[in-house]
Amino acid sequence: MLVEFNFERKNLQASAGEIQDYLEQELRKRGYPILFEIESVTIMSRWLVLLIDFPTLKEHTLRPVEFLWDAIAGLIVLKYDVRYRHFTVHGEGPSLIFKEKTQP
Amino acid sequence: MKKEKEVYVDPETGLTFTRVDFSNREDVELYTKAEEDFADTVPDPFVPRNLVVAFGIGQAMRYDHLQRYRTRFLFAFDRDLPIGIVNIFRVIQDSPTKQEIYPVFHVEPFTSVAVAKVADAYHAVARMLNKEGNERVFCHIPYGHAVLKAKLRKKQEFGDFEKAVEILELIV
Repeated sequence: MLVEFNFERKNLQASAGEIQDYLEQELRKRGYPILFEIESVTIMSRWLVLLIDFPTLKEHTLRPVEFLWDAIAGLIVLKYDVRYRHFTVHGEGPSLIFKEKTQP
Repeated sequence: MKKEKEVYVDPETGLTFTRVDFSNREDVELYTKAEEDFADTVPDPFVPRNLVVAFGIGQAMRYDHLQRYRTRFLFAFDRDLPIGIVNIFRVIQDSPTKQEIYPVFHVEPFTSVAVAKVADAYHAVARMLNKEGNERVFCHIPYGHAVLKAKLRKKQEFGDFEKAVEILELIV
């Protein structure tokens, strides 16, 4: 399951590589309970977008999946001056990364 | 505390409530500090301790952005001293009408704040919500907070709401 995390960039100074390294280390250090793969970190003029794959997740459920996703966003907020907006499961809503329509 | 973010000053306690601005780094850091303190005193039954603060700030920002459950996030201050954070949301009737039935809130205090002051914050928020037109006002308090519960003027008690909290109706 591919999930896109959308942040307002605000005063972000870090590079995409630094953000990816930080998040990977932090999630592993904290024993993040589900398998994840950071597909990309994209910094645009206004937005920061993280694309993360959760290969073992098959369906989007309110709990426990959403709290684990919000925790990822929270780790970014704790470290960087950005404003988390929301996540989008690929195929469920509009995307800043994928230009094709995600819904039929 | 910025005056333009002030949403309510309680005439009985003098406590001041301001809107949490998640675009303001100072507000984010203060909010995070309250989450950190609260996580130490009230373990979340669902979220591992080493992710709970990240989860708290992440979910709050998302709910605020999406206006999910019309949740409102406030800081409570006693003059310039922060008391804690206040989360207010609307419980939606579980029926086809989806009519909102009442507001529910809770206060997550800083650990250094006296219980009596936390109880004042609960009553102040209840009065604020009552003045906004809500005849009945409900709050969550964590199980085990017997002293706080004893200090609240409450009408009736409900059973389990989310396992780790009780829901009470406050007398306004």
